[in-house]
Amino acid sequence: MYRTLALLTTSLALVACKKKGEIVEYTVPKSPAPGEMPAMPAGMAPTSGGSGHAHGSGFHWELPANWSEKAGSAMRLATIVIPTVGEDSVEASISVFGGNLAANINRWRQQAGLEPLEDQALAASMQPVETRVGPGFITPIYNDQAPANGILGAIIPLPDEKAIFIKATGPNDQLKSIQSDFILFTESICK
Amino acid sequence: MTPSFPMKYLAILLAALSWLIPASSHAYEKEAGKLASERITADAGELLSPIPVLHGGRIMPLDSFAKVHLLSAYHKSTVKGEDKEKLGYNQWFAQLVLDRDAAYQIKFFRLRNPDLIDHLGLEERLDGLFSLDELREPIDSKSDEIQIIYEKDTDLRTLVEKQLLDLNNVVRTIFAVSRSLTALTPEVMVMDAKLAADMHFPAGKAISYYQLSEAMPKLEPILTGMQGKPSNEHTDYERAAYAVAEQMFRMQQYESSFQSIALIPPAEDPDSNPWLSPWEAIARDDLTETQSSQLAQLSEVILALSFKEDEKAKELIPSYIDSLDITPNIRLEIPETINAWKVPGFLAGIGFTLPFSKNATEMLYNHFDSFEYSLAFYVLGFIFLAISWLQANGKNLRWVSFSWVTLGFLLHTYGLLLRMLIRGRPPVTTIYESIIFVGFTCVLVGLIVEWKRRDGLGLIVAIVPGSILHFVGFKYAIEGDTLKPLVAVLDSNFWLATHVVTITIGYGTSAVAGLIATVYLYVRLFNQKNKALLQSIAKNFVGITLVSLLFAIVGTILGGIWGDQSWGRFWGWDPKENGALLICLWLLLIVHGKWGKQLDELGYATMLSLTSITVLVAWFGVNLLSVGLHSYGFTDGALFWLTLSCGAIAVITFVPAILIYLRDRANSTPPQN
Amino acid sequence: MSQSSASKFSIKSLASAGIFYYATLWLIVLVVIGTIAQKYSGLQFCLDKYFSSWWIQPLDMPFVVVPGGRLTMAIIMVNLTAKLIFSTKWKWKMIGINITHIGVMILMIGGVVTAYTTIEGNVALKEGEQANQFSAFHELEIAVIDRSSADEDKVTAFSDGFFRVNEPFSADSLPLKFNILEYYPNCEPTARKESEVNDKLINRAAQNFKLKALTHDAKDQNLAGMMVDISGLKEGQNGTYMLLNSPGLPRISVTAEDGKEYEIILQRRVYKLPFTIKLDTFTRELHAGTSMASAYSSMVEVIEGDTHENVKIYMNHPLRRHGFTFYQASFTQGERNTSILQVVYNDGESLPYYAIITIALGLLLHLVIQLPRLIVAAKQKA
Repeated sequence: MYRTLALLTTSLALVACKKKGEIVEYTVPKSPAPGEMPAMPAGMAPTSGGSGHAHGSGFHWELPANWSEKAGSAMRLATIVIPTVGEDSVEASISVFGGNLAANINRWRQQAGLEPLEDQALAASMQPVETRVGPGFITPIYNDQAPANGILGAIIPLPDEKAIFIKATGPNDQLKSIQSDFILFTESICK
Repeated sequence: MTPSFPMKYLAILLAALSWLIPASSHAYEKEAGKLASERITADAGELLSPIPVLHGGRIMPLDSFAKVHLLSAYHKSTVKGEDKEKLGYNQWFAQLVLDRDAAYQIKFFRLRNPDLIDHLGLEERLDGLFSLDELREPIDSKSDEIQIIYEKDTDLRTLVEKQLLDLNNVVRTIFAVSRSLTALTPEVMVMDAKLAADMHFPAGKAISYYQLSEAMPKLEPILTGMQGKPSNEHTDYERAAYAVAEQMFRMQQYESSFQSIALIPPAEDPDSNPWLSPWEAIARDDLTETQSSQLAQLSEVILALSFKEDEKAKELIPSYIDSLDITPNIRLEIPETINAWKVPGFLAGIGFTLPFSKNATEMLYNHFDSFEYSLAFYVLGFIFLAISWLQANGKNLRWVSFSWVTLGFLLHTYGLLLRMLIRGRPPVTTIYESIIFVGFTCVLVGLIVEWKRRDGLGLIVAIVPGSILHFVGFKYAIEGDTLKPLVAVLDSNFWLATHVVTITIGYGTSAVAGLIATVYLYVRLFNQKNKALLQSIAKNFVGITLVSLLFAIVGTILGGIWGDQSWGRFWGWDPKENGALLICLWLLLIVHGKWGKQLDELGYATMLSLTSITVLVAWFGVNLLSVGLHSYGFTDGALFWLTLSCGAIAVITFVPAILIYLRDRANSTPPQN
Repeated sequence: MSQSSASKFSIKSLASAGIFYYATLWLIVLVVIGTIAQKYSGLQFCLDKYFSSWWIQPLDMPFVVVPGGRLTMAIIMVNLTAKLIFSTKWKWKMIGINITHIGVMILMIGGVVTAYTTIEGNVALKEGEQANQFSAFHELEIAVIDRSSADEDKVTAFSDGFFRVNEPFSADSLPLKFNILEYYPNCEPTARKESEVNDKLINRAAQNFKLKALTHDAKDQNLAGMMVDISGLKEGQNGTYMLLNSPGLPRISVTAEDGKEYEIILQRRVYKLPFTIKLDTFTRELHAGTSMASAYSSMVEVIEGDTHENVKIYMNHPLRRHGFTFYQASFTQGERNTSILQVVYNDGESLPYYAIITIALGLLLHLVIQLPRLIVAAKQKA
């Protein structure tokens, strides 16, 4: 039986054939030829901004002129690239998560090198803003002692103890220069 | 209902403050360890339990809602306090929504990993139980870290990170649930008695947001009247009105985002359209009359329970549930199409209606754990069987054992049937259900074998897998809702009823075959003189192998046909398909080994005894590989148990097999053929 | 072990049950290894290596080969055929088993037909869009596109059967000749050093990047790439080009010796359909209050010559036309929803249905005939 098996195996193996190439001719209805793009085989090209964008979470916003956007990740909805002066730019992250509001703002203050504030003072440091999702706050956090670590934030509370957090980080002066556009951007957020 | 002009700015300021309040308020003085609430009666939970709610895509009674949420935090369905105090899940839930102060102090979050406790900076505790209040600050302080963990690839998260994420979700979910009824619970005290009387509020009692919002038209003129006057000219009456309005705004700003208990059904199609949570319902101005009246009734119910007016609640609740009009009695009927094949007109629609609803059935299922009783009877059966072995003629005790096992089997079947009625599905649609069903199959086959043989072999092969699988089932059951709706790809009753059931029966019969072979090995090891017994068992081998082969092959091919019908691929060599194929090939190998004489009786028994390994690998192992179309069960921690079980089966098989082989060689007696 | 057939070869010995025993044993080993390997190398790769292959080089050792899945199943098929012809006892007692074996034969024939005629791919349609072709999943082609006509593009495609290094190929209708220098089923472009650039590299991608081979992606997300020498072009354009199977890249435009212009791309192999399919609408339903899908469906129009037919394609309800079957596979949402339909062509589709009926019947018959003997009551010990 073993001899048979061996003979069978080898004879069948010889029958096996390699894949043959085929030449096929066919026609395709006209489709517009894609425009020339810079050669970039790997990585993702950032899309240019200036128009509304929707995201899986369902939020939309309008980017002011020259602002652009990179795709987000599991927790972060998007990263916004904001050109400031000359070639410089700052980046803002948009995310949704929960947490005690005061604790979050104080954490940002700590990152900028500032002392945490008590509730009343904290409330006073925030600017209310009306977005299309609902009321929110702008939180400018500028530490004169550390002008490179400025934070310009916006918080829009949502149901289920969550909130939209927008956090732009960069030098104080650059953040201040885009502050009005930032407020416009925050106001444009809707579902 | 919009706040008037000056209130808006006040409201925004208050809003900013209101975020900061909950962490510090609710000073609470009760002793830790006392579970019973003083604000509500001990029956409140039970009274609430039949009320329907939409959760996880299906309509369920609050009974299930409560159970699922307690399980998610506590991993058991009854909270145990000190001094043997117990809190059932319904009462726990009632306290969670109606007496939050007390509930936040109860230690019902179970943290099983000391590393996680350490990471959160909490004190070490033997039982790992913590209360919501104890966990709030630590969880809040980890928000940034949690965001980072979210962004990581799932495979790259450490165990502590995964658990932190889960704990974060559970804490926030339960927190949101606890506050979802705050629109209807009494929260606000009206300071001025005359004001209360004018608003038709019950005197001396706290008022709910809902009651206040109904009274808003009467409040508004008072508030507008106050605008012109300087504050030192405000009367107490007016100040009381202002205080009430202020509290309302505060509640609306902070509490209205909690919408986790969807109690008010939509105007149409309650099975597919979203339901409204009380805060949602109050905020909308497009409620139908029915919905408004339902909300009003719900408010009455919650208020009654909040003030210990149980008698009143007992009357209100059934009429509230009736008014919802969404829990009809279960109807069993022939559908119009079965998997796109049209059923002849005269047959379609024929059926009958049972005298109970899905809601009621589900509550029965929740409260009477028939699987636990079934297990108890199996174990009882085993005890009597074991005693019967000690006797010379154990026939009577075997009968007793048989009766117990049969009783357990009936309860096992009962649980299965209840599940089928509640879900409207064939018996096997998830891994959990496959565990219950394979257990069912093994016990059934075992009982049949026992009926034919009457020597206890059938009882062993019924009890062992039946009990073990019940234990495994319990582990799955405490993970959460086992009655969830199905993912779209599985949503075909015909194939679920045919392919999945056939394959699962195949698993069961193969396991029984394996077990019979294992028994053979031990009988041969210890009692080789009893040739008649050995022969009779060996005769059973072929029969049971062929039966298993039938189910395994037909089930596997049916799976292929389902794949062809749904995705165009009869066979894709993906892990689940390969697992089923493995069982088929293994059984084929054994059967042909006997006929081709590659295997003698000992060899056959050894190989057959190892069949259970192929079953476990096909059943659970493929989920661990998670490649291809078939990964829709969950897997944490299972690899360890799977390897352990397979190893145990291998050891249990090879030890007697090798000993018998060596003994036979030593005796120079040719092995039995 | 019967000795009679071990020492002599005879046709009858092909029918021995021992052959089936060892072949099946080997098949079990392949199934186990081939399944575990899927976690690391992806489904398609393991399919090609373990199950669809004739030979396997274990651990890529040179000179050592073991039978692959196809060879093993071929052995079983020969064994089964021999058994049916030479050693089947056609008695009433054996009728169950005999029918079962015939059923298994039907199944295996179905498997062979499927293996050699099946084409699997998909087509993505936006709402309102139509198509008369689909792209195969696991086959590639080099498409040479002639855009000169105003009505439609003419494509000459070379299938991946040609993708062997240093084996030039061409078509009579085209002046171009191809010679593949490097081909990788999965690769990554890496920056080329200054020193590595030479005149032979023509397109920008080839000049700036070179290809680094990667192992098969565990999730079957492979980027295929090749460096190919193209000749038969006008002066200055002959040389080495880099082609990558990536839709976002710029197409390579060349001019042939005879002045005609062509575009060259590496893409998933395109198969034409004998009709046109158009997507009217796509709908997705969710389980109440969740984001878990409960049903997907596409309303499509099948256009053949002058006839239009409206059909709904949804889960477990595919569209079957002329041997092609369309399944609702997936979708992407956007301003206009895109429905992705899986397309399968399979000549052997109906055989498994006949097989299962035959096998089930055979096994049931055998059990009914044999069972009473096999389950006996234990004799009571005195």
